[in-house]
Amino acid sequence: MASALQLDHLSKVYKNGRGARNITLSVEPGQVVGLLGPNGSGKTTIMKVVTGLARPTDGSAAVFGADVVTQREAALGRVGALIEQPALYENLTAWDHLLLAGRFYPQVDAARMDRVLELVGLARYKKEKCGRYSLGMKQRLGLALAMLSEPDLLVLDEPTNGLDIEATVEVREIILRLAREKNTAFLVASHLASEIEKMCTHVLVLHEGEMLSFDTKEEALRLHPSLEDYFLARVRDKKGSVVL
Amino acid sequence: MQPFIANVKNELFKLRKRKKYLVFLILGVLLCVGSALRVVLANLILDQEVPRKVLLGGLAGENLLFLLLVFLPLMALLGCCDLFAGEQGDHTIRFSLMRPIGKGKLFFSKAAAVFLLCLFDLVVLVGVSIAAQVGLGGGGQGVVRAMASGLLDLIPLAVLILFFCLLNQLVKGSGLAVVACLAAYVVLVLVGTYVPAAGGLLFTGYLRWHHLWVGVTLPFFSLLSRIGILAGYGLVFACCGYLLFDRKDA
Repeated sequence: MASALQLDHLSKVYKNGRGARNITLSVEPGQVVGLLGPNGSGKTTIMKVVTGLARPTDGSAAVFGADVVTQREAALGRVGALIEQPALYENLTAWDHLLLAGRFYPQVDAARMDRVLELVGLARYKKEKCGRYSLGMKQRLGLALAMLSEPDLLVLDEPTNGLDIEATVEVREIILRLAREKNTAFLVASHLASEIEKMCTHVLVLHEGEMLSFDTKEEALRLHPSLEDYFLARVRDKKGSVVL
Repeated sequence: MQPFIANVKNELFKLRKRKKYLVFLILGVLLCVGSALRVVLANLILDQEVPRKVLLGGLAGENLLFLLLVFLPLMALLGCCDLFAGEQGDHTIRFSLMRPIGKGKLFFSKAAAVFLLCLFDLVVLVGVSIAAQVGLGGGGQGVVRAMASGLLDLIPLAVLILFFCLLNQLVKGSGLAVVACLAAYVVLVLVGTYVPAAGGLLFTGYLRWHHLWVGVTLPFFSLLSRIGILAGYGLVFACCGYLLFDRKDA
């Protein structure tokens, strides 16, 4: 059976030299892979390639065996994503957004749209235009859109950005439940190592576009007290410094 | 085909939710009715007893000139800029790009939505012009011809839409795209008008190409080269526009 996500020597380098280089990675169903790295380390770049927003300059990315460039429809049909800030139309309501997105997935009906709105706590505001939404509400709608088609792979870039503590915990619980019960694979990026630690099964450390390590969480925490320490150790290893 | 149709519906939905298109359509309706009333009122004021059939006969055809050279290109220009440069500028194009639809289908479904918007406006405005002509006593003279001409002129309009789609891939930002498309269109129309040698070679010269089809016998072989020119333009604009769109990162 094909991996949920297979990156094979994937590179995406922008004109300014930033991006991600030579990333090889395999994500299996039910795994939650956390991407750890500072700003500009290539986390979002990898996610953009996986979700068809950017073309790789080298290598390939495949979702359940379907290449995201050459078999785009098959690949993206199984992916749900929230990249950076959700792309929302200010003059449309939450319901309108779900209606537009739902047209691409035959399994999505009005009941499913209501269900995801309930899940992210936006049911009361579904007829309100997104231009009036707070950052947190936009983020919730972005999550609802990502989960709408019940995808087998969810790509979430800073999913708790702008959410309050309660909502952050809810999002984390949703991720863990979907991974456990529906075998959904996750690729999650966050600048908070503690957040990644609470939800991921695997950790990928990125620095200046390069992949420094890819371990299970248990392996990472075997030698280090926290993922934060694990991340710092990997970065210092690369720089040739003494690990503290 | 399902993703293509789904996205055409989505793009039309988005256009429909922008009030400016409705405002422009209402303005177009007022202008079409106004042009009929203007003739009738002028006749009344000057106390000339010219029969209404003479005054208003062929009004629908006369309004078609305004529709084809001003109104529909403006709608096509705004539609393309909203759906391409506008969405790329505020990153909302990611909403469509993240769905299971090929980039080619996405590009052409956006162009198709703009075309359908223009078709709808054309039908409404030609309908209003005919209603004004008949309703004010102008009779049915030239009505069928106006309708047929409108339908024929949709073909060069489709090429113009592809041209605007291509221009939208070359500039960043909705505002700049509107200015670029408008400037390019005006320059092409002016060159086509004042440089007769270039007129037949520019695709904007065919926006009223129903004139070419008028006659007792159809000048088929003469038309063939013109159809070829128009098809060539359409093909080049479609291919270049799609290639640039496909290479773009969001």
